[in-house]
Amino acid sequence: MIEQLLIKGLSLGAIYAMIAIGFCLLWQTSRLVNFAEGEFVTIPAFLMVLFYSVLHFPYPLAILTAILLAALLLGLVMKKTLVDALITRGNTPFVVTTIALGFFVRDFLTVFATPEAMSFPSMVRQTPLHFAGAVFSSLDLWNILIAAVVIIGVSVFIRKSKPGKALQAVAQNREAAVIMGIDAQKMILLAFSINAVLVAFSAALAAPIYMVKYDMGNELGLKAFYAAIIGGFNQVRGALLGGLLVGLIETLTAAYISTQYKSGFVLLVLIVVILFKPEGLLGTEEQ
Amino acid sequence: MRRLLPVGVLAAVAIILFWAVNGFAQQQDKVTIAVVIEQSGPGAAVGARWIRGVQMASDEINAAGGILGKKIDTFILDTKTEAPVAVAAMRKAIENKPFVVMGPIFSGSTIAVMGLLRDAGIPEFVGSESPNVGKQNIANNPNTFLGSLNVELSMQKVAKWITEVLKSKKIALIWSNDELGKSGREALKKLLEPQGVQFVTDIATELGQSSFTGELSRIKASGADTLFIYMHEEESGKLLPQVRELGLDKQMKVVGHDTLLTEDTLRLAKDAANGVMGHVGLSPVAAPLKPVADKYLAKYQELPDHNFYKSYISMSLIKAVVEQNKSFDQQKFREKLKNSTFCVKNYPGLLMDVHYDEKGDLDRESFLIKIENQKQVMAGILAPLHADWFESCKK
Repeated sequence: MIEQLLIKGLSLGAIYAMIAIGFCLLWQTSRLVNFAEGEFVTIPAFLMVLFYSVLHFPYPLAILTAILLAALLLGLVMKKTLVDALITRGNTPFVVTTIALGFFVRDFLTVFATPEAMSFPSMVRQTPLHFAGAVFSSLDLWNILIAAVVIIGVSVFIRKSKPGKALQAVAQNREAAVIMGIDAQKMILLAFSINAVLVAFSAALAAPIYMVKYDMGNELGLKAFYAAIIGGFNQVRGALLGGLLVGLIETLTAAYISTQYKSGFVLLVLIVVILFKPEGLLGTEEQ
Repeated sequence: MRRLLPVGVLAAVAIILFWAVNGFAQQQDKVTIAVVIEQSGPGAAVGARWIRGVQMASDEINAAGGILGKKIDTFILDTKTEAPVAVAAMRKAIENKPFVVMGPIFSGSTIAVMGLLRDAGIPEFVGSESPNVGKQNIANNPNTFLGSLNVELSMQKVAKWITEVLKSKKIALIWSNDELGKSGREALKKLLEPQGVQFVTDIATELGQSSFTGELSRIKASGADTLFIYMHEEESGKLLPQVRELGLDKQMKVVGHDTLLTEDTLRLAKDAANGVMGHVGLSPVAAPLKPVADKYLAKYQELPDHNFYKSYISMSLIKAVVEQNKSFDQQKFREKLKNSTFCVKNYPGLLMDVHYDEKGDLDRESFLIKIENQKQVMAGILAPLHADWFESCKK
């Protein structure tokens, strides 16, 4: 039983981790926390349903189009509107605005799309896989694989590519990076675009489990936020660790203790981390 | 100027009188029914079916001349699937002095508002199947009437089916941690444990929960021969694919009551619902309900669920009771519904013979359903719990 629980925990954790990494990237480059991150998952999920179920695009094209459109909407449009308008005023106005944006997105989808949950097919056929006496879901293994590829891809891009290095420079010291000729605004746009791609991928992985619904992002956004705090808000690898931990804690608590306590245990870990290592497990202290 | 003043006053009085008389006349021509229902939140999907039931029945009744010559006029208020919002919506509905209130569906909201309606003396039909609704009705003067068998009564039929037909000995129970799930769990355990049936797991789940691997892993290791699921439609629709992923459907019988087998659950679970069996109070594949299902299908391109039928039939029942009373007296309405049987032969809109007891609970036939190719298939008809109540309908 433990093997399948670990796989399931890692599968859920991988989804949380992708969203948590988005939180970290935005914080590192712009010092902003996006409280509509959950709705940023909901939007591409609805776009996927629109392209696949309503407009009958082929499945891969529907996902690709949704990811591209999400990158445009949640990356470029978001940067040029709310971020540009609010970045100079600090984090608090942005937090309040994104909380309002989250409400708006949920209400908009309820009224103009549907309040009902919609199913969305997974990228692989959901079949039980038997190995060493345990049963694994093909979907869970696929989720872990896709999340690993996306996270490694983003990490390699940030570490090895020129724009990625510029992004790191802005994250480490924005003023110094600007003096060195790096366009900080472009880097913030890049961070929002990477975040949009990450949430769009997590939407594709989460939709078959969570079903596509106007409030599907509530739980995902909240868990990813916990993950980012537990792992370290200023470290991508911290967000990855935090995401996997949250997924594992939830799944193991539901199996061995009680469903009712699974969120409570995550919050307990969060409190312990804040008390003893406020910067997060892998985070670094900020000035 | 002074000469013109009395003329102006007279004209104003005439206009006010005209409005008052005209408004009063319009008021006299209609009967107002408030629909206080889940239009948003987790109950939005089932609330939408309930509204369609009210609207379809209203249209048909109005087209046939209304109730005692009065057209049905409905207005809808949203509970947002939250009990405090339901209370506020119900207060607003009561201000408009409706003859009857239709809704809510969720048991928590229903129990929260029924006191308001009792104080206002307005009868209501609800989608809730909680036995606590009947228990909280004022003895011998129910104000709240259920649209379907309450869970305690349904579970009497389910328990008999589980022990006599499925011959289950070890049950894994998974239920939603709210009024719906709790009442079903309590009723089932109370009926089955004395018969030697063992509940090897007993797991509560959260409303809106998406991943059930931890819970299902416990069930898989429990040695159960039957998995009984009693959760809302959305959670049931998410659970069934995970049941299949872990191979539980090969290991044990997967059964449930009402919500596990509705159209909403099937739409979400798709082929993972195949093979599931259970008891339903109202089904579109039941012969008496099929003609209305066909009309619904033509209008909405989907099959109706039990919540549609609950409101549709309740609207027809309003017409039946008022016409028997020959008045819109709310006290007489309540009295007439108490300990009474209503037969389809007299009121075809009821679709099935129905009996209401002194608590506002009903009894009638119900159905055993199996899911094949993502569709409900009739597996059996279960007689009412009190067959003697329906003797008059056979004459």
